[in-house]
Amino acid sequence: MIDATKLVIEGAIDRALRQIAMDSRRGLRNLVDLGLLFNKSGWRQFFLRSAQNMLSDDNSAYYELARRLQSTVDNSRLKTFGIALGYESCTKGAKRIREIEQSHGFDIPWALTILAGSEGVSQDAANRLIAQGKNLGVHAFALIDQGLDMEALRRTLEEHQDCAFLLMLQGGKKQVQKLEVLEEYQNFIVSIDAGQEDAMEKTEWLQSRRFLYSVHTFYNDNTASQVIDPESLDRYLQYAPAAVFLLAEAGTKVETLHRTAENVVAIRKTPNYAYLLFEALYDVMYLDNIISQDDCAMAITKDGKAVCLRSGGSWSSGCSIYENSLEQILRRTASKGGCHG
Amino acid sequence: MAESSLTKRALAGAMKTLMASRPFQKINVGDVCELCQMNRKSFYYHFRDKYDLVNWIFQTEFIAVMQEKKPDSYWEMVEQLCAYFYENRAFYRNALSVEGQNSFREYFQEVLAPVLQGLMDSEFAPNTPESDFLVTFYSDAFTAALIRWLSSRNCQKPGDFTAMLRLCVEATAQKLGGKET
Repeated sequence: MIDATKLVIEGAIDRALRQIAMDSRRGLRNLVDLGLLFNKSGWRQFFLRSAQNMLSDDNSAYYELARRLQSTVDNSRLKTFGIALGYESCTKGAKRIREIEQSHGFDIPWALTILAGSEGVSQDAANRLIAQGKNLGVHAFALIDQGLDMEALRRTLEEHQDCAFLLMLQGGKKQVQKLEVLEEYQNFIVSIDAGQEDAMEKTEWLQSRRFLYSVHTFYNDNTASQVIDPESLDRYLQYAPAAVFLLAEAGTKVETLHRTAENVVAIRKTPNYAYLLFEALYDVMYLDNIISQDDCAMAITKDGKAVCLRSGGSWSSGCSIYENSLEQILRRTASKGGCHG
Repeated sequence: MAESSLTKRALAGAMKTLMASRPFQKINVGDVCELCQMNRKSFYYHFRDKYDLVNWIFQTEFIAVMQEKKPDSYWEMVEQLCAYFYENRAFYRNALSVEGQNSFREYFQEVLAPVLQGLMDSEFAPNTPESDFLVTFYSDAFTAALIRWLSSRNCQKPGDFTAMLRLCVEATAQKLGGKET
């Protein structure tokens, strides 16, 4: 059985990228309009119409972002990652998630975060978890570097080419340069810690290899206002990222997170910066809420324990991925109506 | 519907009306704008040139067909594409007559390429030599056959036309040691 929609989307995106090269304003507007054609569902229409509104300003920095990405990132990467995230995850995957949630009575997060590597969840276990996630409709995964082995990562990307991966790398420039072995894979975006001294070197290297990348920065109750002040917002531009993720440190108050998220949404709506700004947890949960009317995010800690997150707080399930399947964990901890420890 | 979509549809409607009675080469952007009472600025806000508009018409309508019909196989996709062309044959007879850079014919062959690749993969044995050549060959052959079919006074039904195309591909596949049918 063929996926005619995907075939048509691939052709349409190829054409859209060429159009952006010729005229980034018209090309990007037409790409968003095309998205509206493919996506009739309410929530996707909402996002795309918001994008249309933001692009109605000819001076929108998002035009510069589109032009920059088209000219500096391998276009096959943009296409493949975009389809994995926008189609496999947010369209096909989301549909499957809703079906299973309805029939099975538990929430499924649309994206799964795994702290993986030699100091975290083993990459074999992470791979199994990803396969289990796919069966439930999850096609978006964030892998937080805990000593990731690139060869093992290559196998993951090879096996799950229909998934979108965010690789949050730690470590020095050498760790980033090991990404060379992944050059043929196109379904991931790399994220670099903007707080590290060698962040600029790393992003320059990624640019030279035409990788798609973002930067992230951590904040807590004391630093929340700093990470979104004009100086910081300007500083992120230096890295020329596709996106900037703000990550609340453990122990950050929920009120701080909400306040930061509100500010992020406001900044995003008045597009003065040529990158997409996200409060990582808030935006993941917001999207989850839109997909399935209940917000639910899940992270797998270094020791393989599942942590369920909701807007009201987080609960460690105590369930280990080494002893339970993802479905078992979700049944126990994410039944409709609340997380249970 | 967003204003941009309304504008594009108005321009598309005007282009289709004009192409029903005039060769594509004799239509200019001014004619299209005049017919739907838009100004040129509106046209160029959305489209690069008249070729871009024709390609957009095909892209949007073809997407709608694929979303509605949800073909299960590449041959079903080809048949639905032919059915769509048949329903709009006056327009596409005109559009396909234009050759060269940015023409609809060039765009159509780009769209067709992955479909043909899929067909080749399903009909021919794996690692068939010269598969790129075969895709290009059949792209040219399909396009030429399509133009001739749409231009003929008594068009075959789309299903019959697709069956003939299929016969050609399968015959070639058998000759080259294709998959068992």
